[in-house]
Amino acid sequence: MTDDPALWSAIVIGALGTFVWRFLGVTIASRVRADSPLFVWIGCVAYAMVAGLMARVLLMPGGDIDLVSMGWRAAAFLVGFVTWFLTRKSVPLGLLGGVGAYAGIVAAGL
Amino acid sequence: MADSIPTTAPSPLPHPFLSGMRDCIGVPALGLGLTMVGFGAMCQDAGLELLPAVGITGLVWGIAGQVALIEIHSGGGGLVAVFVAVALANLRMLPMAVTGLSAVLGNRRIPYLGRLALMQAMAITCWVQMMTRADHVPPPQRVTYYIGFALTLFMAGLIGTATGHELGRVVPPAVLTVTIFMTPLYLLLLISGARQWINRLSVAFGVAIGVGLFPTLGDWAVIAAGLVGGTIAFLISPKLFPERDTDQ
Repeated sequence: MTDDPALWSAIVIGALGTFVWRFLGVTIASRVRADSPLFVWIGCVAYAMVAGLMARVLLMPGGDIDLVSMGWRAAAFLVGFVTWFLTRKSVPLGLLGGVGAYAGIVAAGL
Repeated sequence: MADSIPTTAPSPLPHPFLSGMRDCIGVPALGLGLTMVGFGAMCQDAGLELLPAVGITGLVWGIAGQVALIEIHSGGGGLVAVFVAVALANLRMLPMAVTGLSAVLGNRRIPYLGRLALMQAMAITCWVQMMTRADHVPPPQRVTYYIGFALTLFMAGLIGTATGHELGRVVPPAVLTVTIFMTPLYLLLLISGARQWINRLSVAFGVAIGVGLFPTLGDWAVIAAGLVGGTIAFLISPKLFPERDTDQ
């Protein structure tokens, strides 16, 4: 299948499907001042979009890695977030708390 | 760290490229590499050979779009369907490229193709690094630092994909699920600590909308999270925090 032209066409088209946004982003970046309200808004959209995707992947990953129910995933996330908040926003400790809690849930077979 | 606004310029790094590499090795590269192990195994299941599997990671470089590509192609979808699905899944690259480019370049000017090449390597992990964890890099060294970071992440992605494809599910599912849990948690904690309140609010609204609407909207929920959540934060933040964000 390495020589499968249909597959490679799909790969090139898929690469273009991502490249189009990178290209538009670079083009827009050169036309928007970094201190303008429009730039601030684009930043808000970027933060919210990344946050929405990461939260979805965290809670509802789908596929065969979905060993743990959403409720327990949310619980592990909360442990991590609260740990992070209470430790003056220490990312290593928050990560340790959340991943530790999640590993415990997996080990317990919940 | 995320709360403090640097009052003095950071001192120059002796080796900005190596600093970028070093900052990537650890949670960023490990998390992304193992995510790509999962993707490589998915390619193996879909009947792809090694070269196309690694080619997808290298050329698309955005996990959501890569998964969409495999799903649509395996399902017999045509090229238009592939393009639409990948573009939809990776739309976040647009606002990430606009803001990420500014974070990488500062006031530096480099040729258009160079800027395009820098953004071709952009990924969520790189973007979050440059937005929240690059205060210690002096602006003139940021391009070099970013290249070191992004190239290391890219290598981790290629190696992860190849490993997942060749060794399949050699990583036990229990270990894989724990390591894959790590990356979104890590990135969420980093962006939750964004320096400006307007961006912290964006994160909160993005999480609520992205999770709340996913069951009904699917991949569109991420776009709704960005546009609706980001816009709400943009509109209400100046009213909630009238003096907080005026320093930048």
